Amino acid sequence: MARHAESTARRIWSGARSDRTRALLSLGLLVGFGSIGTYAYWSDTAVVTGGPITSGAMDLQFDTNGAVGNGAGYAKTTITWTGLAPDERKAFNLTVKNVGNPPFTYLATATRGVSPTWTFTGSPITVQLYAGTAVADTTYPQQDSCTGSPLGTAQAVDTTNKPLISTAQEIAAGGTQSICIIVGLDPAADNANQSKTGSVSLTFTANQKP
Amino acid sequence: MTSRAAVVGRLREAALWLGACLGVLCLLLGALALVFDVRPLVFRSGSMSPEIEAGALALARETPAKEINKGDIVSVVDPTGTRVTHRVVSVEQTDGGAVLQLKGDANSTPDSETYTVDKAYRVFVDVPWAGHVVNAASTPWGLLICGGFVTLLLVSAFGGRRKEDDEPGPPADRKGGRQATRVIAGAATAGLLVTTATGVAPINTMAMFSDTSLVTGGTLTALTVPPPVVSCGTLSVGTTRLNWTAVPGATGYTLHYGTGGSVTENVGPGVTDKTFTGLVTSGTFSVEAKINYGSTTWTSVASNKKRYTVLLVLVGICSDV
Repeated sequence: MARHAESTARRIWSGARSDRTRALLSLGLLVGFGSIGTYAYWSDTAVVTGGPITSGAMDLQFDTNGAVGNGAGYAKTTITWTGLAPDERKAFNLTVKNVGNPPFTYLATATRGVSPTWTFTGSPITVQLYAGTAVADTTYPQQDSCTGSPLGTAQAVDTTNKPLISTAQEIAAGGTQSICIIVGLDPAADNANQSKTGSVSLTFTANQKP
Repeated sequence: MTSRAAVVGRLREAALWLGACLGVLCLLLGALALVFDVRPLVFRSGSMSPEIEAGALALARETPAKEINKGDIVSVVDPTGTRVTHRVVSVEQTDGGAVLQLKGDANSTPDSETYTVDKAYRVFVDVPWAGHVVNAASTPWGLLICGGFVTLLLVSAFGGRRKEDDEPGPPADRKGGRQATRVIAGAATAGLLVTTATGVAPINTMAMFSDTSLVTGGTLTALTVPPPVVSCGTLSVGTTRLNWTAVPGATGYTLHYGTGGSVTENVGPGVTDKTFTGLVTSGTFSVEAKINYGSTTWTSVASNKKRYTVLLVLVGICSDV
C-alpha cells in the first residue's frame, strides 16, 4: 500500500514537473497582469496602467535657503515697516522654489503673526500676493506695486487663515516662481492704531502633482 | 549533448520554472481578489516611507468603514479621482460612514481634506520593489513581453521534440504536436491582444507628498502723529502770541485755550501761531496735530502746555505749566 501511495505522489510530482504543465501554468501570468479582463470586471475603482513611479522627497523652499526640509519654517524678517500710515502699501519680494523631485502645486494663507503681540485695533493690516517683483513708490503716501498680476484678492489679516491664492500655482521639479507680497494699512484704519504693532505669518502648502 | 545544448537546456528549465511559478502566483492573486476582495496596490509615490517606499506592491482588503481604526493604512479616492493611500490619524464614525483624516508617514502634516467613506481598502501586507516589476509588466510593452515569454514556453513545451520522448514518434504524432502548438500560440496571442485592448492592470495608488512651510514676517509698526511743540512768541502790551512747530503732513491743528484749555478751535495746516488780545485774558494753551487720510483722521497727543495772560496796559505773560 505504501509503495502505491509513494508512486502516486511521484507521478503527480512528475506530472507537475512536466514541460507542458509548467508551460500551461505560465498562462496564469496573462491572467495576473491582465489578459482575460478579470480585474476590469471586479474593480469598481480607478485603474491606471503603468504610470510613473516617483520616489525621493518633496521640499518647498524660499529665497536662498529658506525653509530647507519638509515642514520647515522661514523667518522672513524683511517683511517689516515702521511708520505705516493709512492707505500706505509696501511690497516685498519672495522667491518660491521646488527643490524636490516631483512637481507640485501650492496655495498660501495669511494670519496674524505670534510675535510681537498684535496691538492693532481690529484687522487694519491687509496682505495681497502678486506675481512678479516689487516696484517701490518714492512719493508719500508710499504705495508700492508689483510687476505681475494678482494671485488672489487683498485680505484683512486676522486670527483665521485667509486664502491668498485663488488658483493653485504650479512649479516643476527644480523650478522657481517670483512672487510679490503687498502689506498695507487699511485707508480707514481707526486713530487708535497709531504706534501699534503686529506681524503677519504666511502658510504655504505644496501638494505633489499627480 | 554539446555544452551549448546543455546551457540552452538549463535556460529552458529555468524559464519553465519561472513561468510556472509566476503563473501560479498570478492565479493565486486572482483567486484572492475573487474570493476575499483583495486588491494589489502599486505605490507610485513615497510619502508612506520608510514603512512603504515608492515602487512597493501592497495587498489591500476591502473593509467596512466601521472596522477602520486609527493607525490603519487605507486606500481611498480623493475628489479629483486620484487614489491616495495613507495612514489614518483620526476616524470619526457617523451615520453617513466614517470620516477619515489621513497622513503620509513621510509628510509633516495630515492631508488637507478629510475623506468620508462607507468602505475602504485596508493594506495588510507589502513587498518592496515588487511594484516596479508589476508596473513595468502592466505597460503595453510589458504585456507584450509577458505574452511573448508565455508563447515561447508553450511552443517549447508542445511543439517539436519532447525531452521525455527520446525515440522520434511516428510522423502522425509529430504533426499533431505542431498543430497543438499552433492552436495554443494562437490562443495566447488572442488573449494578449484582448488584454492590451482592455488595458487591465493592478490598481496604482499615490501616497502623495506634501510640504507646509510657515513664513513669519518681521514687525509692522503704524505711524505715530507727532505733537507740535509750543513756545512763547512775541509778548507786547495788550497781546500775547504763542507759536508751535509745524508737523509734516498735518492737514490741520486743534487748539485748546481759555480757562483750563476748555475752548477748542480748529485751524488749517499753514497756521503755526495764535495771538491773544483783550482787557484781561488768561488760560492754558495746547495744540494737537491732525492728519486727515480721507476715510479716517489721526490726531496726535496734546503738545506741551503753556499758561498765558493778556493785560491791556501791560506786557503779556507766557510761562510753562
